[in-house]
Amino acid sequence: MKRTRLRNGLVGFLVVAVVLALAVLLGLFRPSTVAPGVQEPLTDAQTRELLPRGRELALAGNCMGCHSLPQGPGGAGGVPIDTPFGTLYSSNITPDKTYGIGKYTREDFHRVLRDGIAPGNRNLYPGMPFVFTHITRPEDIDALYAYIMSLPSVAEPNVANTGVFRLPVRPFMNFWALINFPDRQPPAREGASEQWLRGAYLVEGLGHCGACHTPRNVTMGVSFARSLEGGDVVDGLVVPDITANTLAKRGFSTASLSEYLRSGISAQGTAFGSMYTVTHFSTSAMQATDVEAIASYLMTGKDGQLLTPAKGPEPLPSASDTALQRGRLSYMSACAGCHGTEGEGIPNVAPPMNGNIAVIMASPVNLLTVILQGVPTQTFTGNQRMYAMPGFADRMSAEEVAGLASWMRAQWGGQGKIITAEQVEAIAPVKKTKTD
Amino acid sequence: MSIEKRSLTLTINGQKVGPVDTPVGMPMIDFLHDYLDLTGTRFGCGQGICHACTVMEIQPDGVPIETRTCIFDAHFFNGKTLITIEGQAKRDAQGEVSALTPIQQAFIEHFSFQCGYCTPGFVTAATVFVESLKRQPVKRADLQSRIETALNDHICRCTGYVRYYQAVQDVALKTPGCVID
Ligand code: FES
Ligand code: FES
Repeated sequence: MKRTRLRNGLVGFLVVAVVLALAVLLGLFRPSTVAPGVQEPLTDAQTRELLPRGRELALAGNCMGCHSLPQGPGGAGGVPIDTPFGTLYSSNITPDKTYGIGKYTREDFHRVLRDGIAPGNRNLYPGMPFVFTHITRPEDIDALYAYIMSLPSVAEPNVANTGVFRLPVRPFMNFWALINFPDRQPPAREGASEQWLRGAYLVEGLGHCGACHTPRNVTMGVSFARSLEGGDVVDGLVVPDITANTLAKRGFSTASLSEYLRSGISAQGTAFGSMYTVTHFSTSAMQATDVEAIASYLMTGKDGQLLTPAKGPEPLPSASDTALQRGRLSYMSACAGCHGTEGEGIPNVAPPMNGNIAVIMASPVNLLTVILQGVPTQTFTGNQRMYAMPGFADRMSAEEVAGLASWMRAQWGGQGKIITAEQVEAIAPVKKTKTD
Repeated sequence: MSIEKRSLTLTINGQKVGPVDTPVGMPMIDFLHDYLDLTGTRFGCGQGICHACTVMEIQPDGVPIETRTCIFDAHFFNGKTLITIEGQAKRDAQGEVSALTPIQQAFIEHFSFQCGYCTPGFVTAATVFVESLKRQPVKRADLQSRIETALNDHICRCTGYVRYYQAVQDVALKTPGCVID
């Protein structure tokens, strides 16, 4: 008797679990959250009026940054996004009727940005930052729709994804969404200024800063509880913490941060890696008021006060230790010619090292990566540029690079931990073995 | 404040130099000019951009590479082997130039340079490039673009690029084993 009841209970539980799983798989927990009234197409007059706003928002979202190859036609997709499970390729978002999104209705487009679901109930992978664009207001989604549909069509087929993404796994994204896709709202705060609200809306929404700057959990979902704390590795570089406290500690003010976003250049270093794409294509082209709003939101502390810049770290006493002098001499012989004996840099040639975030970060990965691999010549707003830095992987030994980084970090980064040759080798094989 | 010095030893144009006490932070080009009176290496921008100050460094495996002398301090080259413009041509027992290198000869024949300020750098770059072709030949169709890439960093204020490139093409085509069809 007792056993039958137990068995029945178990069977019942299994049935419920299977039914629930099927319901999730079929997307029953992901109903459309698009605004009412978007079934009506936009009129020509509405479209025309919305265009400038759509252009600015598309810049804020850097849609073209991910959806265009550097040399390719704008919006035609094909940019690889590597994940541990395979490579995703961004899609063609031009209004081409065959290969692009030309057949998307206004409502389809809203559903994509709000819910991450494309026509035909096709779940998008979270390479598309819909967990961020979700908070975008209906009138702004309309503006983006108007703008994107006004772009030239490009008849470029989409590139097939690889790895796991070749399999029919899209329905399983519903499970992912169940854990990782909260119903977020545009940020609000009692007594907040218009500027703060605008900045918050852009940073937390279309701007999707957190897509890189907020760490991800084991299922690759955004850990919103640790918003903008950085620490993940993107394209081989550790993403910096951009919470207000940390930005202030690194010497940023609202003014200098917005100057950085507009130009790509700051006293804390120049944009490189993926952030260069952001400043180059997105924030440098946006309206000044929007960039200032972003900067002021980022610089606002938890108590709602704007934080002011702190002084950079003082040299640690250990920077003068005999053990670190080899590193100092390496700096003098290999780096000081461009970066200056005091780490002051040369405008339009080489960024300062004194106060540079790559030197200050607790993780040495970015500093070592740049020393070993160099940085190509980059152009910045207003005809500014930074000249190519050569990589030193084949000109210095791992011990030399380790000593160099250890001294730089003690001198300008407030970081006393000694870097080992193994840490250097872990980043890139170093050709030269003998030290002189 | 006294100037911090370190001992420096290296090989330049086949001659052992040092050990000599050299200030920390002295660019290699100053060491060449002031300590060794090798003034053929040209100082242009001093910021690593124009490549006028380029000399040849012979790596331990014998492969030559280009290196700038304005941005690296003399000590960066401690223990290394360099060839400056003075060390390119063959010299007789009296130290007089007896035979130019094929690249030097070709630059003269093609009237490649005008004021000549950038020429030591171009000689170095072109020589390193032709040496690289001997190890890894290039298809004839790709030769021109490869020359452009190889010399691209070098700035010639007199804008003599075309004749430099033509001269290098000439040498590459005439040197056996550099170009394949
Ligand atoms: S002088 Fe050295 S690169 Fe210009
Ligand atoms: S020949 Fe005058 S700078 Fe090149």
